[in-house]
Amino acid sequence: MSRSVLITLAQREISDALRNRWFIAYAGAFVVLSVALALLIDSSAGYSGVSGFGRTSAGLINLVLFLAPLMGLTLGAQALTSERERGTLSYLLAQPVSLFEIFLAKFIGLAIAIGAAIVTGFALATLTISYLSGGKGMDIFLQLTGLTVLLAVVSLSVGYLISSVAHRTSTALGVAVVAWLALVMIGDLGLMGTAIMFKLSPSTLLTVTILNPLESYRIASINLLKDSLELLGPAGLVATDRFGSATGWVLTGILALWTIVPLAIAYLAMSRKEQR
Amino acid sequence: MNGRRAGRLSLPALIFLMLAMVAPLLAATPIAGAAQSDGATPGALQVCATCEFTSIEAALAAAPEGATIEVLGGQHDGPILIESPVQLIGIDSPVIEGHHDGTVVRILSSDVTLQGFTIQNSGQNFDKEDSAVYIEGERVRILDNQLHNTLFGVNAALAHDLLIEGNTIVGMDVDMGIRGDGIKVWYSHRTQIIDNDIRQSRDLLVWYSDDVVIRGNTVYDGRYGFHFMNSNNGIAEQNRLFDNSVGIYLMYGKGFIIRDNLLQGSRGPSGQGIGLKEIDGVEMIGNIIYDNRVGVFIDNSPLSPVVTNDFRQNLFAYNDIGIGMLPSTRNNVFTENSFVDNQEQVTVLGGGNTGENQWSENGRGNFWSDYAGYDADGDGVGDVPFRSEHLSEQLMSSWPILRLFRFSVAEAAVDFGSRAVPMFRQNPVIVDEHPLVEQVIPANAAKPAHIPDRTSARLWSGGLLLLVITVIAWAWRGSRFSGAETRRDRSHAEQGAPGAPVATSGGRS
Repeated sequence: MSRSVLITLAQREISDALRNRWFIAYAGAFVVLSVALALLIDSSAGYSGVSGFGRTSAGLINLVLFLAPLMGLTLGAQALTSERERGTLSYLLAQPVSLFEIFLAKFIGLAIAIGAAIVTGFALATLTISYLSGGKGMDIFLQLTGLTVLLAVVSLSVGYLISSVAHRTSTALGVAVVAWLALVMIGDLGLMGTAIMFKLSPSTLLTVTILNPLESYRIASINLLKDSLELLGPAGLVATDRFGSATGWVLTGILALWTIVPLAIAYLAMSRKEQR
Repeated sequence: MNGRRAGRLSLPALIFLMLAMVAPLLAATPIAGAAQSDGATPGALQVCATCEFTSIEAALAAAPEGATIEVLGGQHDGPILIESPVQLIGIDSPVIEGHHDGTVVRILSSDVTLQGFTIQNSGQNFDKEDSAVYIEGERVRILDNQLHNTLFGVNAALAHDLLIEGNTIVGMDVDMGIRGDGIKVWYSHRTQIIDNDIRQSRDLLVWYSDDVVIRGNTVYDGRYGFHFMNSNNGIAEQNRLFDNSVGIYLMYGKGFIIRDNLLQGSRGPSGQGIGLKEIDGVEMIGNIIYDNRVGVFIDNSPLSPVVTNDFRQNLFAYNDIGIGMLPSTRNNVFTENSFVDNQEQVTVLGGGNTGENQWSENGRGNFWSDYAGYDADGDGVGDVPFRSEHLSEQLMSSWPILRLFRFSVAEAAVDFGSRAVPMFRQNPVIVDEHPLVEQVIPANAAKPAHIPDRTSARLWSGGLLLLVITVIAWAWRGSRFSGAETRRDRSHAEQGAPGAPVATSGGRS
């Protein structure tokens, strides 16, 4: 595996993404909405002189939970199928580059592009109001940014998996949107109902919930911003009890697993397909 | 003749009389000054290595009632026992060392003043309540002392009219549960606790003591900021209480004024800015209640059905729960408070609504940051009532396990659904008929701690933006590196051959 090939292909992927209207639309929406939200937070704090992490700033987590997975999933779903449909994949494979190099470089390139969009949104929002982290300091803010980029990478990885299995871009996009809906909303709504109907114990509910990478992200970010999970009621206290100070690491680990496993499966599916 | 003589005699007598009256005044001024500069107070007993007395005990034994004893610096060993009314004044902060054994200074007389000492290292025995200063006597004054590494700081029992002012009290650096109380006041009416700085202790307790005034103190890193129990008519004002488990807890009593305090970061397991348990007649005015688990917790207060508790012009900001009350709490009146961005502004712990409490008075309600109404006539009062009816909040009150889904998209969906489909609409938790459209700022309250550093935030985010721009520029440049060939291919691409330009750049390696 050649490093210069990887770099060149990744660079090409980034500049491709910058020309992709989907990407531009997502990135634009994310940046504009996070700045708008920052202004809203500022106005809600008013002139009382106190600031903090409240309902309004929690909207940022909502925004991320909505947009970052959508961005990752749909861009990831398009990544391989569109390349195949356009015939550029065969063209590239005819060059002295391996499938693995193309696969990895595209992923890295897309991850950097999406990461750049998220970092821009967060940085501009912070320039607008300067206390997104609820006055908790810049290290928290940087960790939150990193965690958010990781979430986007997770959804990119899942999107990639969809893309490697699907035959056409339209199919891949459809599946990606359904996956997005399930991860973002339907899964949680179902769990909320299940928890009440079947009187789930806090520890069961917690275990099932953090299997969803979006939930892992949400809980990890609350843990970052609030220093504890007591805000999340009994199940949150179970998490603190079970993981203690390693809570953040456990949740980050889940996110990392969600990046690596789908990516590995995607590569296997892809190489099988290309061999045929 | 007799008259003249009488006149002549009376003139010197008059002058003498006048002098006699003025003399104490003339004398008093230099005394106060001297005490500060060289400690030469006429009539005072002095303690130092070269003085008449070399130990505090010796001076105490020799001192008549009401005498002043000046201790000029140095280190002295405890325990010290004061059994007669004297003024024990430390100059150049002399140290009284407890050697980690028992109570350091024990005051068992009325009318004693203890001023300007550093008292340190008490014992650690809870049964005996080892303290820096133990008081059992009336009208005692504890002024400007430094109490360090003590189990209990100032421990007063049956010490009416006590004054504790300007002291710094630092507890032991051990677990919260095995620390003692910074100040413990037991059965001591009319105690005044003013301008003290207390940290790393357990509680500041006021038990069975009426008419206590607590003003201008800073208490942090403790368990209870103040804990009043079975005490009536207390006043707490202008205090800064932050990073304690609980700010102020009032239990069983009546007639309190809680005014202009800061209650911040009360985040213990049952963290409350202010907790009221069976308290009648509280006036809570102009406090800043900020970043607590529960801003104000109300348990069965007021107890009497004919009394109201008044909450006016307080700021409830960024608490997990602004006001949390237990079911069947009633007769509380809330006006001109500002509820800013609390996760749950007002909630009934265990579900239900706040029906029998009053959310406006004389046409003035409270400010709610999530009020979505308008004020068309510009009188400062919103034209439609504020109703708190987040379905998700009510679900979470009834099923606390659902709090796990806080800030999730599903939570937002539930709230949206309940607004869109009125079938799911619940009874609102509160209705404020006259919501204010502008915040009422508690102007006199003590200022918050931990103000965020905005400059570094700006620098960091500027740096992040630069990083993004660099990455994009790098990718952009790399992808169109191979010059003329690429450019030609791009013009192909624009005519409808996507993907072609980039393939050549891939071949560069």
